[in-house]
Amino acid sequence: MSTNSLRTRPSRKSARVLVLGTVLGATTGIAGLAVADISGDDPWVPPPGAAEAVGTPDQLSAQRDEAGPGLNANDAVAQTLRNLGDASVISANIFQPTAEEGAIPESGPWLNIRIDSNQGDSIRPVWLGQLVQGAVADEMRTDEATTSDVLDGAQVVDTDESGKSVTIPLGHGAVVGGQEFNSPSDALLTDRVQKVADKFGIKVSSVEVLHPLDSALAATFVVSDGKVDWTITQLTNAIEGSPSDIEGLYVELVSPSGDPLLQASRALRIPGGGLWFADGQDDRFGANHG
Amino acid sequence: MRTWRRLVLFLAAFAVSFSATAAWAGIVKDGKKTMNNHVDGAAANVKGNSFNPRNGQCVLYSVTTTSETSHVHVETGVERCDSSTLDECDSGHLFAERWGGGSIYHCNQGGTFSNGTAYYGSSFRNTSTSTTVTGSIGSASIPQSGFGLSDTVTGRTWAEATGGSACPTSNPDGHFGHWDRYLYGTGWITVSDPWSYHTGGPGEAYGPCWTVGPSNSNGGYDVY
Repeated sequence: MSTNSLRTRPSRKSARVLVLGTVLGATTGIAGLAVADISGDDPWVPPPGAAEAVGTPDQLSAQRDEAGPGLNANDAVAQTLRNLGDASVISANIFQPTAEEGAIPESGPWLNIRIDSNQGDSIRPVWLGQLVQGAVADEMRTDEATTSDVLDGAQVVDTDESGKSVTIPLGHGAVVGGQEFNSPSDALLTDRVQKVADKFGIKVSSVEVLHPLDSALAATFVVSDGKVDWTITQLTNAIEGSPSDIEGLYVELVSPSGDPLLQASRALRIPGGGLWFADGQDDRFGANHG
Repeated sequence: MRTWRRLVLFLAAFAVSFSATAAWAGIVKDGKKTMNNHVDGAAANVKGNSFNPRNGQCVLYSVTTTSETSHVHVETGVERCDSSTLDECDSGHLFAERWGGGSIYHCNQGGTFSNGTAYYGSSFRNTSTSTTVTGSIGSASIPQSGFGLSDTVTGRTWAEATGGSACPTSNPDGHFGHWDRYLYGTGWITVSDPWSYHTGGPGEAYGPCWTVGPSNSNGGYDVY
């Protein structure tokens, strides 16, 4: 498996380009020559002067396994889909992506995940894809440092509202592999959602407990009209616990008449997040975005 | 008659201004944009020296590739929040965000970072004929489709405050170094002709929050 640091730093190529650039600059005598990549065909080679720091992957769970089970890809996929508990996820398979699909030099394998939701590039199908991506990576893992050292990315193939096929590349974040979430029983997690709803003064519309590897929650809440004195961050924190007891969370807020107000998702084996909001609901629930 | 029309216009302007101030929590973005709109990607060394978000607010320093035509973007950078998250990615991490238009945002959370350290953030078309732009910083990456081949695409670097209705406290500052745009067939080119700008949209209710310094020879500049 490739390492993350290599993906954005094809160092051999970078050095070669730097030398070529220097030679050309000296030969032509052009002071301050701005063109750094002589071939011009490989943006994955960073320009001269690119910073080297890459950050430190987090651990978001209470415990972690140093070594993973090392299942083969087929077994890891079969186990994840069998346990997941969401019928809209149909299948998954490992593949080697092309450059057009987003593969970079020395890229590792991706996971192709077929979902039948008719929701296209929206919060829930992407979240489901991330849950599967993270669980399969940790099932395949032996001693890789991060989940993205095992799977370099993934894509969700879904349909949109019109039935048209949509392919959504997911990418990845940086988090340690082998996270073990406390994963209380389904009954305790369902009870926790109800207690949080009571505390926040909202009503539980539905709760699902999924099991990509440990446990994940999907919950829909009905929120009364008017101002609220809490934020979506406070709500998700209260459900997850600290450190998080679950590997993923999808929260949907709806109005008393059932209109969707806000959707928020977290997938902690990637880690990745998603946010959708109806007009003005980001401010109402303190949901920040770029 | 003329005086009457002026009064109506004044009252209309006042009403619009007041409602914007009252309604928006808002986003402030202060930075620079490539003047050249033929961009296949952009990259910079992004450094956050201080952040100082208010309660419920996030402060970001980031580099983006944006289609002005299709209204999609990819943004990579560093962020810190106070009692909040960025698209549900946690405070204190490198981030790669994609926006596909409308009000759907996705982020991938990179590793933790240190203030005062530069991180290389980039985003560019996967190939010269691809309509997908992939953003990367540290070990995080995120692709976004929808960048038409004939779109007007620009690069941006900025300091940003999102959430709340006031600038961050104590004048936070950051630096962008080696800001480049990418063109297939040419390569990385230092951004030497940027526009300075101060936000747009709701953030105008309370921005600007940062002073945008002059560019140096490698496209770098300070925000403070």
